[in-house]
Parts: sequence; C-alpha cells; structure tokens
Amino acid sequence: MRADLEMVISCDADRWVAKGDELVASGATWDELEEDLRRGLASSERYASGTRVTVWMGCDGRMIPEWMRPYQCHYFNRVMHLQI
Amino acid sequence: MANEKIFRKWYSGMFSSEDWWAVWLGLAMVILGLASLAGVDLVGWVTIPVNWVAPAKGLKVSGAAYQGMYPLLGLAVSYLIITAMVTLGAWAMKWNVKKFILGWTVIFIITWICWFVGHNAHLAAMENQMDSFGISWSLNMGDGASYLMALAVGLLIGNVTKGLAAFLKDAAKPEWFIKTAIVYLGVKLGVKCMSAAGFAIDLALAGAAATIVAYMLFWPISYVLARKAFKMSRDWAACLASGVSICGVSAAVATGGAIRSRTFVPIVVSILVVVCTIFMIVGLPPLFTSTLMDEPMVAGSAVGMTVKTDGGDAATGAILDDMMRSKASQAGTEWEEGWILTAAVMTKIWIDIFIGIWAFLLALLWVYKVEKKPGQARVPLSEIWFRFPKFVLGYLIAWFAYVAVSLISPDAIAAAKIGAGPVEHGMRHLFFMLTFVSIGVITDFRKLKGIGRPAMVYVIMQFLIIPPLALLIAWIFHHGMLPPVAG
Repeated sequence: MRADLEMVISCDADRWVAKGDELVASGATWDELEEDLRRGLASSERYASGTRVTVWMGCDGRMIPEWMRPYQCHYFNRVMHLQI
Repeated sequence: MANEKIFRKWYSGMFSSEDWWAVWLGLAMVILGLASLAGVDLVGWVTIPVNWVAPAKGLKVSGAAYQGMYPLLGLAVSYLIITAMVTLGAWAMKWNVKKFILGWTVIFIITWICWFVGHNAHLAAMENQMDSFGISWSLNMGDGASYLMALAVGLLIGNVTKGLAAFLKDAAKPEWFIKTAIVYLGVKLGVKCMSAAGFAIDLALAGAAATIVAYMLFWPISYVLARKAFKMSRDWAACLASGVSICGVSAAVATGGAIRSRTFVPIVVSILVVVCTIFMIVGLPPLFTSTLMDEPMVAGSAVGMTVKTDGGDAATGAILDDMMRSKASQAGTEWEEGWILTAAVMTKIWIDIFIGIWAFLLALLWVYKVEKKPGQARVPLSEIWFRFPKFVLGYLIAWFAYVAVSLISPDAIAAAKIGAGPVEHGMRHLFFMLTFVSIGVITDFRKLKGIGRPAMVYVIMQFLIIPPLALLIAWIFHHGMLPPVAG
C-alpha cells in the first residue's frame, strides 16, 4: 500500500501525537487527532480540497516500556483515509 | 524516523528483538548439536551439575568426547562460549554491552551457585538414587530444588537489595532466556518423538483443542466480569480479559494495540500479570502434585492455561514435572523426565500462536463494530505476523529437525542423540535457571501499590475462576494420558 503521508505516532499521558513531514497533530481521542490532522493538512495547502489522503502512521515502539518489549515489540500501525 | 522503533516490514526486529534472538541462540546450538551426525561433537563442552554428596563430584562435562576435560575448565569454557553468544545478541539489540556483560556475569554466577547447591543429594536425589549416594534421607526434589532456590534468591534481590537489582536489570531478561530454553526444549521433544511419536502428536493435538476452548471461555467471562461487575471501560475490560485469560503481557500489549488503547492500560495489566505469576510458580506445583497424581498431563496442561507468562509457565511446569515424577518414583513408577513440562509448554505455545489471530479479530471487531467509522481505518493482515511469537519457529525447527533425522535415517538416531543431549539437557536447564533468577530480579511486589479495581478483577479471575476452568478443560482433552515410563 502506498501512503500519501507517513507519520510516527506516540502517546503521552493524555494525548495521541502524530508527527511527520513537518506536520504535528494531536488529540485526546482518535477523532480529535484525525480532525486536527485534517485541519493541518488543509491549512498546509499541500493537497487540493476534496482530495482523499491516505496516511500511514507507524507506532513508535518506545511507547511500550523497555521491560515489556520482549513480550511484544510491536504496538500497532494505523492507516487512515482523510478527506481534505 | 531515524530513532523510532517502528515495525514496518515483515522482517522488522529480526536482529533487534529478543524474540528473534531466542531463535538465533537456540538454532545455533541446535546446528552445532547436529554436527554429531557427522561424527563431530561440537556441544559436549556444556558443563552441568550432577547430584552430589562430596562437592568435588558435583560437576560433569556433558559429552563423552570431552571427558578428559577438567570439570571446572568445562565450566569456564561454557561461560566463555555462552557469554559470547548472548553478548552478540545484546550488541545486535543495541544494549549497553559493558553493563550487560557485568550483569550477565553476576547472574551467571548466582545461577550456577543455586544450580550446584540445589543438586546436593539430600535435596535432589530421587528415591531410587539414595542408595547410590549412601544417604538415608532426601527431599526428592530433583531439579525443583535448584529452581526454587534460584527464584527465592532472585526475589530477594528484586525486593530487598534494590541497588543490586538495578545493577542486574540490563542482563535480567527472563523472556529472552525462557524463549531460548523453549527452543532447546524443541530438541528434547524431537528426541522424545524418536521413541514416542504417537504420544507427542496426541499431546500437541490435545493442547491445540484445549487452547481453543480456553480462549472461547476465559476471555468472554473475564470481559463480562470486568464490564458488568466492575463497570470498567471497554479498553480496560478487553486488556484485562486478554491478560488474565490468554497469555499475560504479550496478550495485553497485543490487545492494547489491536483496540488502539493508550499504553498505560496494558502497562498496568502487565504489572499485574508479572507479579501474580510468582504466586502461581510457587503455589500450583505442590497443589497439583497433592491432588492430581493420577492425571499428570492434565496438571501440566492446566499449568499452561493458568500461568500467564512463557517464563512463569515453563518455570511452573518444570517444578511440577520434578515434583510429580519424584512422588511417582516414591510409589515405584519412574516417568520419563520432561513430558509434564512439555504439556505445560505446548499448551502455552498454542496460546502464543493464537495471540496474533485473536488480536487481529479484536482489531476487526473494534474497527468495524465498537468504534465503527467506515472508510477511516483498516486492519492489515500483517498484524497477525507482527504478533506471532517468533521463538515458536525455533522450537518447531528444532523439534522437526530431530524428527526428520529419525524418519530419513533411523540408523543415525544414536549419533544425533550425542549432539542433542548437551543442548536439550545442559543448555535447557541452564537457561531455565537463568530465567528463574531473572524473574525474581525483575519482580517488584511494590509495583502493585495503587492499582485498585483492575487488580481486583485480575486477582478474582486469576486465582478463583481460571484455575478450575483450566483444570476442567485440561481434563476433557488430556485425561487418561500418562507420561511414558523411563527406561
């Protein structure tokens, strides 16, 4: 699958944070994160209005504490399709 | 994305994760062991403790070709070679190599002291061995004495001498050690299959069937209990249900990832899993030995379904194996070593294998039902592979390699056993022992402080609901199976 945009996702105590390609989006919920990202993409004017953008988000394994990584190194990767 | 740890490709982590390095360490010794087919013993240097009355007779170099080697020299050679192997792994995984070698060396020494002392004949000798040692009493604990001693010493370090625990933290890797030991257990199973293939296949099938039934029962009961009785949110209930009913930390992380839960949920569940496992290791073997002597394979399988980490499961299975064989020996029956342990590990391995599929199904359920947003996100099939426990590949390869030898060239079985012995016995027991010490070192009971409601759910499930259900399921699929008699 080819993504239009690739980002790294991490999580602090309260919020999901997605970074990549000079964009940063965040939100307490996935809905908020997606909305923030959609706004960021729209204001960046790199995609025309109405464009469907595929975003691949790779989860930064460092979100998992080191002592837990031997059990599962991978948390998740996420693919989103956003309508600008 | 230079510094992030992202699993993007199917081969991600192949040289940077403990799971894969268990495969490499395991298979390296398996391949060296198989050299005996060509008449070369490359693993006979592995040195082990044997039951002793006089300490000077408590060490043995495994291979016949190495009997001229002084046992202490054999121990030094074993330390150097095994240290080189694990250090290579530590280096590839980008750990602090200096800290690792120092910590590893201390853990190796502690492990060996426990292993050696635990082989004192008064602790370890079986009923039928006492005369040969000239002793009138023994606790008949087999390897169980060493295991329990290692666990006790590890727990002492982890909970009392915090400074030492912090120093050893970089090298105390119970999951790595136990996964490596399980690959070596694959060699043992392969050798056992040479004489009891039918029993091994029955055991594998029974383990698979029991695992599927266990998934179907444990998870929904745990989830409903958490949701209805304790009013917990969906992500808490799902992670707790996976942690307590499937395979502990692995399942909790996999579920957290599958349902996109924030990481503190699986972290808290994982703390509960790790701490509660200790009580299982100590409690289940004597409980099952006193109540299930007629059904040893049921007991082994129930351990696999009840104890929630691979390390804890193999540890409990190993102690149970020794305790039950010891009691059977006192009654005049000598069961072959390792079958009860194999029942525990095989059930757990099936559970591990299914984690990926279960996480994938949960992810589908969450994306398309619970948090339905058509067109917004999809669940790639690759998630199953990412969750697949890679050390299982090493276990299966080791197992089937020896099965293949017996099928292709039955005349080579004796030669194959020369190289298999030091791996499946010496290396496996050493890595079991390392696991026991390390589990103790990383278990800090104080971590439970402040975890209220999730702990209640977990404890109720883990101690009151899962064990009887696991026993019932294990009995349905394993009852009547007895380990082959030794000799």
